[in-house]
Parts: sequence; C-alpha cells; structure tokens
Amino acid sequence: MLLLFINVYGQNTGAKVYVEETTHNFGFIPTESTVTHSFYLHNYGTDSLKILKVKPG
Amino acid sequence: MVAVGDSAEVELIFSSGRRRAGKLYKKATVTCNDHSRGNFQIGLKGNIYNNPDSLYPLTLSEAGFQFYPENRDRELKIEIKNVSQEKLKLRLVTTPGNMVKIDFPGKEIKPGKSKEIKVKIDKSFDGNAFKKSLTFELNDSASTRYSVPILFAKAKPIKRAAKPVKPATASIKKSKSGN
Repeated sequence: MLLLFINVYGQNTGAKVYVEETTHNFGFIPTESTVTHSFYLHNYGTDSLKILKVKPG
Repeated sequence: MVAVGDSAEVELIFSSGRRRAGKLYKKATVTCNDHSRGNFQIGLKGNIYNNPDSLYPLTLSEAGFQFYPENRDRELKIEIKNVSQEKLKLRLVTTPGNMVKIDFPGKEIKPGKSKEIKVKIDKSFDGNAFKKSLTFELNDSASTRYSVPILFAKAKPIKRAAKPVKPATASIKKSKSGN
C-alpha cells in the first residue's frame, strides 16, 4: 500500500498540463480571411508550467 | 510560466489567404516542461469557401465584419438565411473577447427565413487593430459550423494588383491568462 501511494504521488509531481480540447473545428471559413481560436492549457501539477515552444506544422 | 492551478491561453491564428476552396487541417506542436506528456499537438480544421451565398444549410450575406476608424461606432450586420427544409437553431461556440459586442439570434430560424448577427466594437475598447473571429454551430444532424472573421483595422487597405495563389499559412500568438 505504501509503495502504491509513493508511485501515485510521484506521477503527480512537477508541472502537469491538461488541454480541454486539442482540435478546434472552424466549420466554414471564407477565403482571404483570418480566423482565430484560443486553446486553454491548465496546470494541475505541483510545479509551475513552462510553455517552451509552440511550433506550427 | 503558468502557476499551479492556473491556466494559459494559446491562440492559433489561421489565414486562409487566396487558398482554393476545400478542407483544411493545420496543427501546432506545443513543448512544455510536463515531462510525462512531452510534446503534444493542437489543431485547427475547417472548410474554406469562396461565396458566402452558396453555403448550406445557411447562407450569409457577407463573409465577415470589417471595422475601420470611420465606422468603428456603427453596428455591422450579417444576414443569415435558412436555405434548408428544417428549423435551425444557432449556438455560439467561440467569441472574440470583450472588445466586441455580439447580438446573436437566440430563437430558431424557420426554413426560408432570415435573421441577423449584429456586431459592434465596445465603446471602452481603445486597443490596437485586431483580427478575430466568432464561430457558431447549428443544431442540424451534421452540427454544421461557420466562422465569421471580425477585423478592426486602423486604416482601409490599399488595393493592389492580383498576386499568384499562395498556400495557407498558420501563425501562433502565445499569451498568458490569469485566473
């Protein structure tokens, strides 16, 4: 039981990111236009979350 | 840096450019210090169209809202017409933020009937030019979605000669939100 507790605790240390949605569907988008969408990243860990890079493609 | 229990906003910006009509999928890879997760992807998908009057089950009178200094105090409208055989109800999925006030039809639209989406720049907004959008979804069997761009520019663009067709591009703006 103690080992199990340590294991579970260990998995939750550090920064932990949770993303509500990973793909957004715009549906119909007009040509020659710009559309935007915000994704929200939640930190449910025990340390600060650092977003180091967001790379398109 | 996102504190424990806090959230961050990552805004993806998609420019359709002069891309031909058709389906799109764009993704971005996020790298963070959650070592259990490693890199992960977020994505955007949609369907580019050329003519707002040719869509189904709703047609739009305009493709988007465009605000310039001379009309920034006006309320702009887009007429949406139900060209299907069933009643349609709209639900706002995403809104551009507090700088824009949206008057959205709450009741269902009967077949052949029209309603309006009205958008106005909030009087208290004194920020920079922006390009945002709103997305709404229908209650039809396909849960059809439409995205309507909202542009607020400091000046009207100068028209140039036509350029060759460019591929679509995706760029990213990263910002942090406090809770």
